[in-house]
Amino acid sequence: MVTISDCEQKNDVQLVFLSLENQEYYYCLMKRYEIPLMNYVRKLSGLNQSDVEDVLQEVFILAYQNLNDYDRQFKFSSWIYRIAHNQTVSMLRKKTKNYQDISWDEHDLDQLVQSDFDIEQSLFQKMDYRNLLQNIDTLPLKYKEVLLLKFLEGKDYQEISDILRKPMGTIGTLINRAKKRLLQEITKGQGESKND
Amino acid sequence: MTDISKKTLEKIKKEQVHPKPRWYFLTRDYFFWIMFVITTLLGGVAFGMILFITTNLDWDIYQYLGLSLPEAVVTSLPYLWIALLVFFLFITYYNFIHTRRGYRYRFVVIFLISLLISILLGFGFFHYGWTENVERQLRARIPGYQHMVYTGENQWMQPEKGLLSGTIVEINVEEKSLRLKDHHGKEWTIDINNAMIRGNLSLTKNLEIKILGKKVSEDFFEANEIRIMMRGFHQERGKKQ
Repeated sequence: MVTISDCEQKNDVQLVFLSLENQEYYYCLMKRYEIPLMNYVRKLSGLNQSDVEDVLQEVFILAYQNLNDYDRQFKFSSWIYRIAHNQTVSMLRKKTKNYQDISWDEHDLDQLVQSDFDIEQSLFQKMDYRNLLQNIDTLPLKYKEVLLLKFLEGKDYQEISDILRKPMGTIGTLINRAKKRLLQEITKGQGESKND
Repeated sequence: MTDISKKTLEKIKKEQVHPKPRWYFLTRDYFFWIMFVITTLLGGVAFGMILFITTNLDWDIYQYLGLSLPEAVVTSLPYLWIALLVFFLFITYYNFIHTRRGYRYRFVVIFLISLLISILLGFGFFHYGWTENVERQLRARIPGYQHMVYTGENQWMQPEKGLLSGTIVEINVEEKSLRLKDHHGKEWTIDINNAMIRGNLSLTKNLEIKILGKKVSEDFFEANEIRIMMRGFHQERGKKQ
C-alpha cells in the first residue's frame, strides 16, 4: 500500500510513470490535485458539492485512462486542469446537474488581492473585491474561465493556453476583454443600485 | 468531506480501469500529422492547377470575346480550384491544431504558412509539368470536368467568336489551307492565306495550334493569326522566346 509520505519527495512526472506501473501511486497524484481541482470545477460550474465530487471522480478516471497521453514536456497540472475543464464544460452543456450560487471564500479573496488584477484603481475605491468576484460569476464562460485561471488559480499565460488549448495571444486578448466586460458589469450594477 | 481520491482508486480497481496503451495515442498523433502532410500536398496541387489554368489562358484576346479585362478575369478564374485550395487550407489547419502543440499557433499564422507551402509546392508541380498531367487525367476521367473549369481549350473553342483550336491533321501547301481536328473531335478546313503566324513557328502535322479568325461555314474557318498551343511551364517559356 502506497502512502502519501511515499510520494512526498516525488514530482508529478515521476508519479505519472509510477502510476502506470502501480495504480496505488495514482492515489498520491489525485490527492495532490483533489482540492485545487474541486475548487476550480466548483467555481467554473456553480455545481453543488455532491455534483462537483461526481465530476471530479470522472475527471480522475478519465485522466487515469489517458495517462499514456500525458507529454512530460507539458506541466502535469496543465494537463489535468484541461481534462477537468473539458469535463466541466461538457457537463455544463448537458445541464443535467443541480446548480447553486458560487460561494467565494477568503482564500479566493486573498488570491485576487495578491494577483496583478490591475483593473482601474478608482473602481476599487468604490467597491470591494467580494463584489468583483460575484461579478466574475455573471460573465460568459469564455471570460469567466480565463479570469478564474489567471487570477484565482494563479496560472500563467502558457499554462492557460495549454489548459484551454488556445494560442497565448488569444488568451491575452480574452483576459483584456474579460476585464473590460467585468468593468461594464460592475458599472452597470453600481448604476442600478444608485437608482434603487 | 469524502475522500474522493480514495473512492476513485477503489472504483478504478473494482471496475478494472486501465490506462489506454501508448500506441493508441501515438497512432492518433501520427494520423493528424499524416493528414496534415496530405492536405498540404493537395493544397499544392490545387495551387499548381490554378497556375496551370490561368497561365494557359490568353489574356490578350478578351476583346474577341466582347469582354472588358475585369469581365475576362471574372469569367476566367478557376473557381473550382480556388474553392478546393481554400478547403484544403482549412482541413490543413484543422489537422494542425489537433497535433500536440498545434493549438499554440494563431489561425492566421497557420493559414498563411499553409498557403505559402501550397504556393511553393504549386510552383514546383507546375514547373515539372505534373499539373498538366493532373489536368489531362481529370479531363479524361471525370465527365463534365471541362465544363467546371474555364481552361485554355474552353477559351479557344468558341468558333462563333472567332477562336478555334485543335491539332493539325493535314497541310495543303498549294491551297494554303489546313485540316484541323478541334478539341471536340470535329474536323475543320482552315484558310491560312491571310494568316499571320505568331512566333518562330513552322506548321507541321500533329502540331496543336490556336487560331484567331472568322467562322465562314460549319466546317470552314478563315485564319487571321495562328499561335502554337503550349501548356504549363513550357507555355511561359514559349512566350518569352
